[in-house]
Amino acid sequence: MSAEGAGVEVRFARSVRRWLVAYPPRWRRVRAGEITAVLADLAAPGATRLDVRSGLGLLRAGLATRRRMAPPFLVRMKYVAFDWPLPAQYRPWVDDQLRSAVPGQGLLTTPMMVFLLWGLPWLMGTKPIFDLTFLVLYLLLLGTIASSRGRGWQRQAGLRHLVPQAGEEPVPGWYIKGLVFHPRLAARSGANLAAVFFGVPAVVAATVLLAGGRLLHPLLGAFVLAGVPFALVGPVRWRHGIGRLPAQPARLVERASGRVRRIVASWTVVISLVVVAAVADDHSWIASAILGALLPVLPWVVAAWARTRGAVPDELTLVDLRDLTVRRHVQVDVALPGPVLWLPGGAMPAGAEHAPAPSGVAPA
Amino acid sequence: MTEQAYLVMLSLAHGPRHGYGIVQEVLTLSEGRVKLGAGTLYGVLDRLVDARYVEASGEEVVDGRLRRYYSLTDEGHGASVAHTRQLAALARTAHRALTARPATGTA
Amino acid sequence: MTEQAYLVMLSLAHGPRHGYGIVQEVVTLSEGRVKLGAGTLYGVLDRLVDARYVEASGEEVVDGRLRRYYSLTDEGHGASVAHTRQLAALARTAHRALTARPVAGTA
Repeated sequence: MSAEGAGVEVRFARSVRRWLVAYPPRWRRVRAGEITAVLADLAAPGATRLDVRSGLGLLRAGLATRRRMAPPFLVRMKYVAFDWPLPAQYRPWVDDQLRSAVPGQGLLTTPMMVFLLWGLPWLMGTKPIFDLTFLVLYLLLLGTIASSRGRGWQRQAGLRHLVPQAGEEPVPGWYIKGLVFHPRLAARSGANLAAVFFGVPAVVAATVLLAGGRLLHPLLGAFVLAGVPFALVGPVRWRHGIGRLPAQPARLVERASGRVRRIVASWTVVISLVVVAAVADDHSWIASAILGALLPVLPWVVAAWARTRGAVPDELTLVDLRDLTVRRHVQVDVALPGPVLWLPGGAMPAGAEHAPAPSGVAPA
Repeated sequence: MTEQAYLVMLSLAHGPRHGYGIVQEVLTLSEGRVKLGAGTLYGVLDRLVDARYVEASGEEVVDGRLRRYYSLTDEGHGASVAHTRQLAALARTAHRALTARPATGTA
Repeated sequence: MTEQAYLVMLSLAHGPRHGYGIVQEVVTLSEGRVKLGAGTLYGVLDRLVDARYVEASGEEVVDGRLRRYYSLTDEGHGASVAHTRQLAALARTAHRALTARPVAGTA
């Protein structure tokens, strides 16, 4: 159960949830409510925040729990290098890896960490840790990895790593092989993300290039023009198509989670920083190249964002908008084999995700 | 076995307790010496559950708060008894060693 | 006070010892359970010396090797006595807690 569902003062629960960040994500999902209740009991009555001393204790214990749950180095290398299915005791750790932004890498390689290591020194006027060329290549590598790890990959990796292997008993509360709905990003949520991700660096790049006295290359104008027809055709086809989309019984429409939003925000910040630094370091071709990559898509993204400002059906997804724009025929998603939580009978509290807790505490 | 783990197991010797109850009982058993924070408590509980000395044994909602109960397993009871014997033996050995000490010493 | 520090202090209760002697006496006192490595031993000794529970008390050269002796201070003796009382009390409390337990349990 979540921290907020623990029956505790909401502000206190939120404060606790911040301090719990050092714990592994799976541990947090399963035990946050329980530990919040205990913290509430221990705290002064009417407390609206967790005191710093207890919070530091939580940070320390969280890191210790991460260390304890992670497999030893050689075993971890088997997973990272050979994608080897690990023994059942490490599956909660693997589950966390599969869900993280850049699987197998951990926090240190997310764009926010890159920003801290490189962008922050640059902003402060000290020498950046990394060379600009290295950073661009590094971003390309991360981007390639991240974009190749979509839902399909997660589904199949889950089948390979999380589901009990032949001869193993299924565990109540853990995954088994089943059919999963096809997750899609809701239209409004997706359009917002796209607008931020494409729009902000484009604006930054254009501003910086113009301010730096570099005239925008005429090719960029051509790129924009190439994107405009989609922006014009899209709304027309949407008007006709949205009310007539086929039913999608095997589709799961979800809004972007906080985690996804943070990831997109991090990428946006880092790419914008690369743009600014490139011009400052006299490599404006990098800024122009980034701008050139963003511009053809930008008109369509803006049109989609504008359209989803108003009322749209809940089941409308970003891919529907895309399909309506470029083709007439919208695919019906099918359920695909993937890991499914096995919840045999018995009442489970709403909203709780029950899995064998990382310590082996089985749900009651 | 760490002292904290030992005290947690002792606190469960008379029956299941929930998190806050364990903290209180550990405080009592240690005569106010050992005050477990929530993070430490859950680290200890997780390890004890992994070792099968302790197990989760039910939940209930009290005053809108979820309370999960933990109880000592038979193996845990056995381990606690063994550790208690060790402790008692060490205390006796120590007592012998310390009372035979010559009075002269340096400050 | 950690168990290792306690055992080291107990090993010095009957008089000064040098490093190797401490390790052997700790093995004896703990009935073979605790075998200190050199690194651990000197870490413990350093902390005990900082706390003024133990002090260096002389050196001699034996077979070409320098042996430094350590001895328990009065404060160290007092702390060991206090800790022994705590241990004994804990063992008694534990014994009471564990023997009153109902036999029914789960494995």
